[in-house]
Amino acid sequence: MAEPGKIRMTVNGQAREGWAEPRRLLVDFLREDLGLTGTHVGCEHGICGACTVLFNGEAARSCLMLAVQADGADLMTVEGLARDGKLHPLQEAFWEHHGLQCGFCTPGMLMAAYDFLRVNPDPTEQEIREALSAVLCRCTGYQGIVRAVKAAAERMRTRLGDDMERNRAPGAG
Amino acid sequence: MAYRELAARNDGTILAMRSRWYDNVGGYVRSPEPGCTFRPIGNWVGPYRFTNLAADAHVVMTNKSLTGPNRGYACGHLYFEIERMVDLLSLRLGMDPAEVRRRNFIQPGQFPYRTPSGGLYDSGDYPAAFERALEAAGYHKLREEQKSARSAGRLYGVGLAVAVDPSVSNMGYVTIALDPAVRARPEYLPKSGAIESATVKIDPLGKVIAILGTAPQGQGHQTIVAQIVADELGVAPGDITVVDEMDTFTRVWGISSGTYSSRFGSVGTSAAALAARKLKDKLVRLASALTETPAENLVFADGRVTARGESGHGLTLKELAGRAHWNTQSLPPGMEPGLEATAVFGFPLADSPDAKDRVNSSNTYGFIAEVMAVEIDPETAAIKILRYVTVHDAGVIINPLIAEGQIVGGALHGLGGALWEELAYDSEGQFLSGTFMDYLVPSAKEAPLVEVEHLATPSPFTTLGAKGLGEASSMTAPAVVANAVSDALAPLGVQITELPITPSRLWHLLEAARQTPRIGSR
Amino acid sequence: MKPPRFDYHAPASAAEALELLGRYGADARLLAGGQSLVPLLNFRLSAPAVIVDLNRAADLAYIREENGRVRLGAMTRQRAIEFSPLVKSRLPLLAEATRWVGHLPTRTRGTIGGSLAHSDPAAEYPAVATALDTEFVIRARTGERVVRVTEFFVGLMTTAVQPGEMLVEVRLPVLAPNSGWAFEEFSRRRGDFAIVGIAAMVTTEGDRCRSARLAACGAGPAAMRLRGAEEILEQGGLDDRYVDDAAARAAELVDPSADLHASVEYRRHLTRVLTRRALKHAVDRARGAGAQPRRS
Repeated sequence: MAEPGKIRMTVNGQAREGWAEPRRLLVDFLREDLGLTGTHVGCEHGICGACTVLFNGEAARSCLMLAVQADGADLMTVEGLARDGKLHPLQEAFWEHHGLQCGFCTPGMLMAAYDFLRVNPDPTEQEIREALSAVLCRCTGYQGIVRAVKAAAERMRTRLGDDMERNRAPGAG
Repeated sequence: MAYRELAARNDGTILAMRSRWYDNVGGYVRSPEPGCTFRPIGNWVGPYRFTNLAADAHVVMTNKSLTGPNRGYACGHLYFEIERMVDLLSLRLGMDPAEVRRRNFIQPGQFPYRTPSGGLYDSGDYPAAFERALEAAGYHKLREEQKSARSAGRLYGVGLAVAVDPSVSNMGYVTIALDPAVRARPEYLPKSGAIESATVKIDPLGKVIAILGTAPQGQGHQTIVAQIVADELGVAPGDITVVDEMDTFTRVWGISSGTYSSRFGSVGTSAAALAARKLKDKLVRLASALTETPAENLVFADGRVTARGESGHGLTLKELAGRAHWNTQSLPPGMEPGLEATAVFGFPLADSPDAKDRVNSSNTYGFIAEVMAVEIDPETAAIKILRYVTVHDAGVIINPLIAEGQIVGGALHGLGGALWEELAYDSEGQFLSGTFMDYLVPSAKEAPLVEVEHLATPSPFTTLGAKGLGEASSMTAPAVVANAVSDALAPLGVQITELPITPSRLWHLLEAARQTPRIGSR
Repeated sequence: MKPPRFDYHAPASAAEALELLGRYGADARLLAGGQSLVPLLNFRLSAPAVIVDLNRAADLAYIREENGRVRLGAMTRQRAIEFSPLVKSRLPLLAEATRWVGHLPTRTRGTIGGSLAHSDPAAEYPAVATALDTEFVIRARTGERVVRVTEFFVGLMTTAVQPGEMLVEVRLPVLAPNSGWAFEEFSRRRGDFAIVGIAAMVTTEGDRCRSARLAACGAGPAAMRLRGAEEILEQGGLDDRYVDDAAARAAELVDPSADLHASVEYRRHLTRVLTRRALKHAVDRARGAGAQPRRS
């Protein structure tokens, strides 16, 4: 069937639902049907990474997924990084280290970095560069971004507390 | 495509350059093209003293993609040509390319300097900035490293590039495209100038609001304007609300307003500072009248104005603003009510071209000196960038973090065009790089570490002495990497004359060189 | 650019998927990881009437060892392969090649079955499969057959999978004793498809080479087995001169095309360079030295 159907998912901890034709891309559903415009459409062919979200805890390019594929799934977008008005250490670090200029790639960078740091919480600079090669940026030359991710990694490692994500198994699913 | 000739003395002094170039602008010329052909006319000699320049520019329309302004607008091409020529001269003379450059720089005492094509370089100390770059890169150590690498058969190169970095287009430059005879006609309306505007105001609650004319896209104008205004008014940058929306129907603007040509650093900051000073002037007169203190004894700090040497709370900005808004009859006689100031900053020296096509095409001119070390894998022809040092003179730097972001971003943007990005066509005219799978934008893994330093010679032509730097190293990166690769391959006789340098193309150059019997040394 | 309309089905099992494939035949396209198909849909270069989405067929994703082989369900994610301890110890060549496949976010969705069935000439997994005695389990509604790798990659982006059939499982032989492996790739940027990639596996017997396996990607219409180069090592040995000869022979055996990224000659040359590097690394590993995977 090609007709729109109801889909339900959890996004940033909240139950969300909407109607989508099978051909509706997940990135368009998030932006236009759910009003979560933080995730950006850059290239629509899976190269630029601006559309990166977490799908069941793992970074994926939402321009290469159909919204119907997210029915029943647990998603996180960039809007889900801050908690109770407090920025995530990655966001703080991007701010402090000038990790963004126009901001178009930034949601993709943050989500890709978030996934990467769960898999590799103590990366070298080259490992960070390799991981971030998944998202293209035209403005920054990446130097501020790499510094930000390194600083965030350190802050997240030494932070005492309640980051439950650190306890989730990397690469699961 | 360009043909360039250079005449020089045996001691390395350049006497003249002649260039004939053909710009493929694609299917039709779309404004502001063919600016790509002559945008940098004012700085066509770069940082060098030679005064004999012949330029013959051709615009060719073909059935390929349209061209348009991109970061560096024609300067990437210009400096690729000039800096490759300087290196070829050095090779011919057997001289250190650093020394050849030293011998040709415009000297610090010569500013403001008028170039043969009409540019007016406002300030600079090219020798000092150049030495700083060499020192920061450890140039002599790099050459030592090169010697030992070469004796081990490794392909190690050191490249240099220098450039004059023009910012703020003088609108007059566009009219170069017209024949001087046309421009001489009585009915012709000349074009000239470059302006920017800003408004600063204080609302009845004492909140400071600054309104820009530049419509930025991430270059940090809001932050910088907040810094400038806060500095003038004695408040914290966080207390300034910056409005960066532009609506030409309701806001102050000019025909040249906007964010392009690295102009914010130069005219944008000037307008913001002038608007803030205008408003400050008014606040001073008001505070002086209210407190019966002479203007020169007033201190603006921490959001209040106090009398120097006196203890006492003085007046907060909110109290001052309250007076101005709510009790206009109490204002000093002759003072216009309201707390708002607009400044439109324009360059006095942005004239139209003369009958010989000479024009001061930009309003401020910075300087860039770069050093790059590379090693080339002799088997794969892959280029590895080992060091990349860049020294900038963009006048007064207002926010070093933002400046660094622009420089590093510009450097990679330039390298992108030098090593990876290409609008490629096959021999049948089929477009080959229509997706990002084939149009290769460099990623974090390809990006080198860029080491940035500043050496500031304030501009006498801007309010704060700042110049633009948003394009910066996009102009020099192609030249410096081409020079470094050519230097690495000089023993094999390979010279880079075309970009991008792809591994496949470079390997073919290497193969051709290896199979060519070499006569003579070097 | 958005996909054209299509009828969509998301079967919950392989059997259900085959039922749909049988019904729709050539009108249906299988959607695995989507990293290759969805861009084509977005560009409208592909406009299938029916999409059969395999991502809910849970019985198609697994990694298990049986009878000297590791069996991977076709829908096993590249990311799962990347982090699988079983793959790392039993199929280290596959683990090493996986690091070259795209980026972590693409490996979250991309699958081994999708990559093999798509058979892009520059893809890494087909080269690994070609270098090993890989078996492909192809199933239809009517039954299943096992195809050896020598019959699987048929031509440019064409495999032995027929309309109405589906690749359900891939079986790779576990690493033999006294063996070394390596995957070497050259690309313009990190994560890009290979300009040329070489998969190598050698098994030693004393000083001799008991078996050598070499396969190339990016150097022909499909992944290519370089038997002529393998023979040089198996008949001669593993010293540098045989490695060099094998590398030279490999360059002669490949059938590269030119594109905007590389010429035919350059690809041939890279084949030689990367074959030598891969063999040296594989031989080092076989001899016990260099236990860590080397990064480029």
